Amino acid sequence: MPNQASNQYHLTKLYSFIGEEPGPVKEMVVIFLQSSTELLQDISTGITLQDFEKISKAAHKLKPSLDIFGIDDMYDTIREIELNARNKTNPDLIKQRIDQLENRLKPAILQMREDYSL
Amino acid sequence: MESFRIFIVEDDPLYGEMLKHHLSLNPDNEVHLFKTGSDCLKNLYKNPSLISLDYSLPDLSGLEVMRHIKKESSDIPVVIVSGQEDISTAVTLLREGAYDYFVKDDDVKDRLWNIIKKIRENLLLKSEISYLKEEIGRKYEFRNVIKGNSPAIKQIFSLIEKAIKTNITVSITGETGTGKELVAKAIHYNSTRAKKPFVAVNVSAIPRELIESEMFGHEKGSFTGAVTRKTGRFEQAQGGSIFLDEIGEMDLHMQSKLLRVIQERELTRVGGNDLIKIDVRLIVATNRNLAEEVHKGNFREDLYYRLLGLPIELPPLRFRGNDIILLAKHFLDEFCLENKLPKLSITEAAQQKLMQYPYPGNIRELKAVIELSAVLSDSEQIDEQQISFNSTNASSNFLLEENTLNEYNTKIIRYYLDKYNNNVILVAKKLDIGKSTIYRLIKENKL
Repeated sequence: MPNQASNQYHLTKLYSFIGEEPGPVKEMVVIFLQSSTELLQDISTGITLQDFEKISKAAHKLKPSLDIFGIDDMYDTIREIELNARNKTNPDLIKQRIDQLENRLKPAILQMREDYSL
Repeated sequence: MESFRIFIVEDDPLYGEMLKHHLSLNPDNEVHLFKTGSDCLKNLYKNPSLISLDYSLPDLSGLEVMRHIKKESSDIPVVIVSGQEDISTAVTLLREGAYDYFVKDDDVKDRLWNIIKKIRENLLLKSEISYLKEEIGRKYEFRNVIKGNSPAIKQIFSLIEKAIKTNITVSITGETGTGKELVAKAIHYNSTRAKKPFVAVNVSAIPRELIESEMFGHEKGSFTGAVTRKTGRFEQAQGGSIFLDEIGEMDLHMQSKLLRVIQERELTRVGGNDLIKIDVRLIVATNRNLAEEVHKGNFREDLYYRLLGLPIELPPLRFRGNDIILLAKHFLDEFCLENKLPKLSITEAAQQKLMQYPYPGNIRELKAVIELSAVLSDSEQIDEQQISFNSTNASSNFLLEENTLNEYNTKIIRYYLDKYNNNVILVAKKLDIGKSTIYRLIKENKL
């Protein structure tokens, strides 16, 4: 059983959605790892290129996944990124929030990879 | 019931897979996942029962996809699943025909599950209704309903076949109990209008002051007692057929209103101003001679010709020969089955008796006679004692006995002698014959 003692994430909502069978749960974890890594990359590229639409779209897509994987403490942060990017306002705040998001999400991703031997 | 096909249109792979997994937990659901709006549109030919549509897709907006879906098939329920709560978008989508709108939150799966349950129930009801309509159609397959092999009834079959191929108005005439409504139903349920309503109106059963509102409906407040708007029988029959029974009983005022509706194919509810288009097939019936009523001034000539259409004159049962026995056996079997009685047969003598009666009440009367005989029977057979005719205007079956003239003479004299206590002189006077004729018959032991 994966070790979730680090509290980097929890799967309560995922379980309520798809049940606790290890096979499907691992499948979802794989999809999350792949898509969240890609979306974080999109956000990062977006800030480098000042492409706010890209940032807004990636943040919008990432938001429900974070909720499902119990990284819900980042909800307000990602919402701020999405809204400010959509309105092309507060670029500094966006940058700041993206850093916060990366600092929170990267260890969670690492933990998940370790827990599921991925 | 066939599987419930669900399309999930979702570009977020995690959310899409989760929904797919969750909804596939019910083995009756067949779930397809599409990542773009155009992929979904390309697969609409698979005829999904429900589409869960993400509002933000990479190629098209949720609204655009939904408009395409609605254009292709307005019946498919589309549920919009959005990443954020946006009241104005939700209102727009719901106005454009979305079945529901909800935000991707913890409740999504339960809400989707509930919606699927509701839609499935709806589909089940629809398929039950469609099945029942087909059943009614089968029930009224006219050769199953209208029994008989006589030339008279074969002629009717041929007319019904002609009637079901077109929308022509049909006027059915015939004595009471000959099955006018049955023929009307057979025409409707075998025509292209079979899946639309069949509305029967007995004109003579509706009070004169209410008939207009009954037929054409009324608006709220149009008269005392009109507390709500009411649709009339013509509107209820929209797309189907209306059967106006006892049309000969309609008063002249209503006749002129009916004529206008038939001519213009539109009506106005009582107290209303809007013209309502109607597409209704008309079948009328009467046991009166309408041509005679026109002659007497009781029926409008112009309406008479409008209603005449294809005339079907149902033969009285007494002219249908062996159909009497065929129908009697059918009613007997039906009655025994309905009442869980052992199957009964009809003896030769009882059949003879049935054949000799003139049936003023026609098939309805025969059915009643047979049902009574089945109740009275103590064995597996119905014999002549159990056949009793109680018709209110039963003329004697005297002529149906087909005796010779001499035999009839003898019977008449015997009847009078019985009636007048064998007073030969009185009977001879009553019948205007010679006393010797009576004495001769007595001598010959014929009386």
